[in-house]
Amino acid sequence: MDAADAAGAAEASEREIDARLAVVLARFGDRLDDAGRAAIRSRIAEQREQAAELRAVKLQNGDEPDFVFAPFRQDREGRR
Amino acid sequence: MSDVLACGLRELGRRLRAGETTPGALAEEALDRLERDGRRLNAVAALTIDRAMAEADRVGRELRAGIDRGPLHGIPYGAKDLLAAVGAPTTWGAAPLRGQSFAADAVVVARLREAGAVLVGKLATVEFAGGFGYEQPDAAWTGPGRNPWDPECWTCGSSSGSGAAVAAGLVPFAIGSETWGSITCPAAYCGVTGFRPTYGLVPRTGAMALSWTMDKLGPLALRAEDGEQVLAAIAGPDVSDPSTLHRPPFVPGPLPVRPRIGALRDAAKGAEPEVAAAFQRSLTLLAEFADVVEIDLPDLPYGAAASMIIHAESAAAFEEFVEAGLAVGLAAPEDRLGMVERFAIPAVDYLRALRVRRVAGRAVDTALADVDAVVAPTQPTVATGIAARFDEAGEEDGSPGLGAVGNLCGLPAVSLPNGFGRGGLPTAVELMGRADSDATLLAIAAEVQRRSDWHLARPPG
Repeated sequence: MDAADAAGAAEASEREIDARLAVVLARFGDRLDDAGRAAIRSRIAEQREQAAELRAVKLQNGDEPDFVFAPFRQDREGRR
Repeated sequence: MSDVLACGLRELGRRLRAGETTPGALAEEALDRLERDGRRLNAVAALTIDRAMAEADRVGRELRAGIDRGPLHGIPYGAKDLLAAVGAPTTWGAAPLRGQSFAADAVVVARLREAGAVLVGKLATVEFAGGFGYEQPDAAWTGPGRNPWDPECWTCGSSSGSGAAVAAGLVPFAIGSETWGSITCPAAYCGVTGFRPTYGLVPRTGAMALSWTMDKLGPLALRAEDGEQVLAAIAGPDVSDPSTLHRPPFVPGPLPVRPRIGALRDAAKGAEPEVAAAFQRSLTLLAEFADVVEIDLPDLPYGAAASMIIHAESAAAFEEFVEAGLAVGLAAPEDRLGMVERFAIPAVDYLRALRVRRVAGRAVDTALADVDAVVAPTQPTVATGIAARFDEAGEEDGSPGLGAVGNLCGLPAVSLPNGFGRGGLPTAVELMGRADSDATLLAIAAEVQRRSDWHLARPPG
């Protein structure tokens, strides 16, 4: 990535963080002062970095999450 | 100071059956010690005096009548204050929930009652088991957990009261919980043996949910053999906890003939010198009865995946609490922000973390296929200062250790004391195994403790 691409990526990243912060503020903004908003923004940036780390892992279409939904039948509860 | 509660389940059982003590006497001793020393250490959320004396009376009468429920019969214990127990508040460490109580015991508490154990107290936890992202020890209405080895140092969290109470000899064993490090770290800092079972081995019904796919319950005790007895009593399927329905039963087993132990490469890198030296000593000791080989684990973002999963699930688990604005009543200023950033995690990021976990679980299982356990220092430091912020205390330096990978993949682990470091504080080593290798890990841990006496050292005072 050259310098211009890197600068563009950083700018896009900041925009995404601000967009997520706006989502948070729409719901909880009335409880956050300036220091609180700065702390939350920093945590969002951290979450975004973690998501980027996860996206770097090569996954196949068939790599599904490890959870199984089991339709409920009361008379079979405990035998699943 | 009496140290009767630190003499081990086997000896306590002998004394009970020989008529040298009674369940009532042991319960009174534990209650006295918790009141006197447990309060001083901020280890107690509530004493369960009436319940304890009633349970002790019942199991005492049974013993006299020849009814013997096994190795926990008549033994007092404490439960982390995120486990429901009838007759006591269950606050989850959170000041806004100090009036919370439940009408039924958690399954683990009920199973211990069936095994004849006597609940003497609810032990302090970091608020919401640390789930709101605390950054320093003063993060519970009970105050920061004070370490019996040095009250100016922290117990670690979030099973802070469980670690302190066992280390100080206030109870023979305690139940803790771990989502990421909350049993192994307090065990390490407090110099006790802490066991994190395979995810799904021990039912969480009646326990606070922080992260449904990562929460585990397990014992802390002075000896691995005691942890094994407790695990045998609390493990097993429960219809209300679907995670438990497909695990094989826990059956205590013998030490494998010449076990093979993987020493995690560069595991002591960045650790305090005394921690690194103690780790080397542990490797030497393990080599007396095991083949020790160096091992690498696949390079995957375990920490990022674990964080993403915990953050997304905890936001859902505590949405009502946060929505109601109750977080402002929490102890830690950083927790009062109410984890609101987690409500902006895209679902696709959470799902990717779950998918990465599946890939990681298979890759790590393959890496561990040729060993009975992998070993590393539990923590890179000894207990940190009671007022130290985590990012300044050296806890986040050096090797990532086994905490992230083990918790992400649901693998069992045991933390054992293995010496002393800076300020005379305990150091510890962690053994982690493949899923369902709980019995093997405990057998290896017990063999280590047969050949050493670090676990028998007692804090001053």
